[in-house]
Amino acid sequence: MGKYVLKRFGSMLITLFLIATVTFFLMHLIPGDPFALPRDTPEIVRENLEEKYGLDKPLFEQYTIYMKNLLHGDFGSSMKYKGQTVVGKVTTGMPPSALVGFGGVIIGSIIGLVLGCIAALNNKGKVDYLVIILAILGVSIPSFVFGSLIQKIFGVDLKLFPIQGWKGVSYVVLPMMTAAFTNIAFYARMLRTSMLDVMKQDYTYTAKSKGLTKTEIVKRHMLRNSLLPLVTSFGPMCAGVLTGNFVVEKIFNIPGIGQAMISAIQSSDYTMIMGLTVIFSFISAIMYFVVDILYGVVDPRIRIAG
Amino acid sequence: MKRNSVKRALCIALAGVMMFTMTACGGGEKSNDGSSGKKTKAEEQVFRMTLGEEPTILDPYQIQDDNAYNISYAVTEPLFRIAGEDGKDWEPGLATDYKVNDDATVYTVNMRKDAKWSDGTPITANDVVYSFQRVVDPNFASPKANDYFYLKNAQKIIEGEMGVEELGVKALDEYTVEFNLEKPVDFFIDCLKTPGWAPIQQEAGEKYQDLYGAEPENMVFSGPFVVSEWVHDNSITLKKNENYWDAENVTLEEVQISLTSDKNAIQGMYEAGDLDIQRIGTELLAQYENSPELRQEGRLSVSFIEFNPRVEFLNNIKIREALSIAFDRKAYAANVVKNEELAAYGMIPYGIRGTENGDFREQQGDLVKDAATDPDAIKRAKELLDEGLKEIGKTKQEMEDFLEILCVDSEGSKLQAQAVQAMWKDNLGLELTVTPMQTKMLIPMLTEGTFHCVIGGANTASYPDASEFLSFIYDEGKMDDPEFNKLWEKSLTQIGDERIETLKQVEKYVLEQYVYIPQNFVENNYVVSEKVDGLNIWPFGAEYDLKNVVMYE
Repeated sequence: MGKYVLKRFGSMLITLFLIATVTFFLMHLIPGDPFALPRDTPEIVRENLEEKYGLDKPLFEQYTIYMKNLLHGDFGSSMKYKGQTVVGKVTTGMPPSALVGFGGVIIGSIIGLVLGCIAALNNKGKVDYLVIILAILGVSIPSFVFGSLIQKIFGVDLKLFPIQGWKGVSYVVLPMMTAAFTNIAFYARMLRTSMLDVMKQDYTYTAKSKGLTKTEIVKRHMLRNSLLPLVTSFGPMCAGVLTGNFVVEKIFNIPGIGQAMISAIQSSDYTMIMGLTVIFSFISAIMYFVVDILYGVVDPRIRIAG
Repeated sequence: MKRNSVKRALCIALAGVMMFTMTACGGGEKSNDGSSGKKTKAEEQVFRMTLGEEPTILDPYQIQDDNAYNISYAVTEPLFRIAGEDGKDWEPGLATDYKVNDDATVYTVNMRKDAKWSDGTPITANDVVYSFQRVVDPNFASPKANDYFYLKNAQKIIEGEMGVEELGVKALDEYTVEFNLEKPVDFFIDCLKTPGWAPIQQEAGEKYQDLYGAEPENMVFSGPFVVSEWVHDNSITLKKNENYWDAENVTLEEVQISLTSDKNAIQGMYEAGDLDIQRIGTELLAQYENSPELRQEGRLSVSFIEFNPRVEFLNNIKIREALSIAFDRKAYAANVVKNEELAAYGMIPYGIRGTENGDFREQQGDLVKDAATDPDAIKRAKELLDEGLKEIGKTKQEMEDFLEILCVDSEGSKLQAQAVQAMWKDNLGLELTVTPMQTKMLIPMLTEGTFHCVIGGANTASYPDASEFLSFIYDEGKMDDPEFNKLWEKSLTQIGDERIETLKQVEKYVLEQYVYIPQNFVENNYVVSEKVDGLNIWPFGAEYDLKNVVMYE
């Protein structure tokens, strides 16, 4: 196990290095710079700015400087928003994103799994079709439409929750509902398919012929086996949650990390793009690693080779 | 018949489009300006508004975005304040009055002695001198250092040829500043009125360097308000500045600003009573059309089609003229901008000083022709196109295959481009394709001259002067025309009506070359709650002036 962890850690470092390198050069290939100067700006003003930020140096030199700083744990600060460091942005932006995201995943997965389970057990029944319709709606209605809809209903008309902003507990409800909505559909659909598959397996028939009760079969054989594909999706899901949901954050004006990433890319904010990409990649790598370990827990048949 | 089909084509192009930011309508009556005696003042003097997105910084000498200027004008007092109709006049700010020499190259500004920074220390001429020396310092590297080229030696200092102490801004005594200018500028007070020229405190500037204005803690204030809280990417709260020189005339206690651009959320908030003002696009115009809450204000801005006269086809003036005439500005303004009156028949919008204090645009009249002003225009355009193509020995087909039309990749710009494209197709039978592109990719193409044609280019003035709309043509050097250069350089040495007269010739000359084809002028639409009184919305500089806002029940 220890050897496995070490091996995974090593390959993770190489991956991160490659990602940082590729992103660095790709980012500089995009036309434009972080300064967004108007068209009639004299050359000297641009030159002074480039000198100040070290953008006048050859690209490879810029790259080595950046990587050196990165090794020392210095992610730098934004070129567009002065005084905002990458680390500062992550520490202030990630908690709101994580709160909304995890809330959405937890609520969404619980409701979704229950619905998926019921649907599978009522295969081709009325409930099943209802869940399928809900799932299709959940997948096909974009969150900016759903978000605006519940904003209108619960914020404008019923005045139950604030429409947008980030000042307290009540501000979390609507964004979390929006995040949950897509998750409900996702989990319901996934569990339903997976369970229908498991239902046709030999061990389910065996369990039935052994005379086990329906609840017992569902609990001990079907659910456990059908959850396996879901575990796979958990890694990217968690990474996605921590790296923010741009749409939800924008609609509800949440100071999250998803907005930061999009605005950094749009404005060619080099240090911010690099820093966030490296940090996001790190999170994703860790999550995949955790999922691999979790496999063994959920399904004892899977053993990690040392 | 032809006109109808143009309109029909336009309607088709417009159908189904929901969002469009640039807007308008006729009139211009200020529904919330001026007070009514019957209302009672609200107990809570809080004004709630939104600004599109996070301001990059609140240092007046580094700000590039309008959002930040709006806040800057509320918290950092300029020497003079914008006043009067269209903001053409001034009223005292940190300074009370000024003297100017005969050729408008030396301005002596008298500052008030009772003005204090929010920390209670006096605001002096040294702060003013420091502020300008700081911005032209090449090591400070302000992204808009060139805005201060009017000041004597500014350019040489920015280029590193002189030290900052050589700058033409001097303190004659503790409360008198002398501005020496590089060349005559008779509208220099208009510069001093805008938020980008408001002094900052020397002590704070030296302490925080280029991080001045990045956080409320890194700032000292001089305006009617102070920034009390800034939650990045979310909200900004302003509180009344008790140390403001004119604090007794400031009623508002607090301004709550949400940093959001989601239109549905903003509209919802306004409907729910969580906002006192919202800026609306044309899609909401019908809903508020007859409401007393609707307010329409011009912005000193013009949008235009730009041709590159150095590429094939467009290097022929007849072809350029044909394309210009075939573009029906009135129909375009009525259908796309939703206000026929915003059709631009010149490069300089209404609201700019002309000779004898008149209006520049009114005096100049319509300088370009199209189907709306000339019934034979389309016929003439077709002839011109054919003649032009004949001169260069090419066919329409070759032109269609070659020309690349660009526009900004936004809902509004694409809509504009589609309308122009439809007109060229209907009127000239030219089927040109339009490619949307991100602004940051478009700008290098414009400056380097590696484009063919751009629809929806825009020019916004920082000061209400005609030169603001023409200077970029000279600065970019794309119109490499000795006649134009001669006229422009002449204007730089003149002042008063003489200078404006020359600028009129410049505008006329530029438009006769058909390189810049004016599309429309700009007006913004706002919905302002009837509880709000005294809100000024200016056509340049900061949009909102919150100083005199009073909230009523």
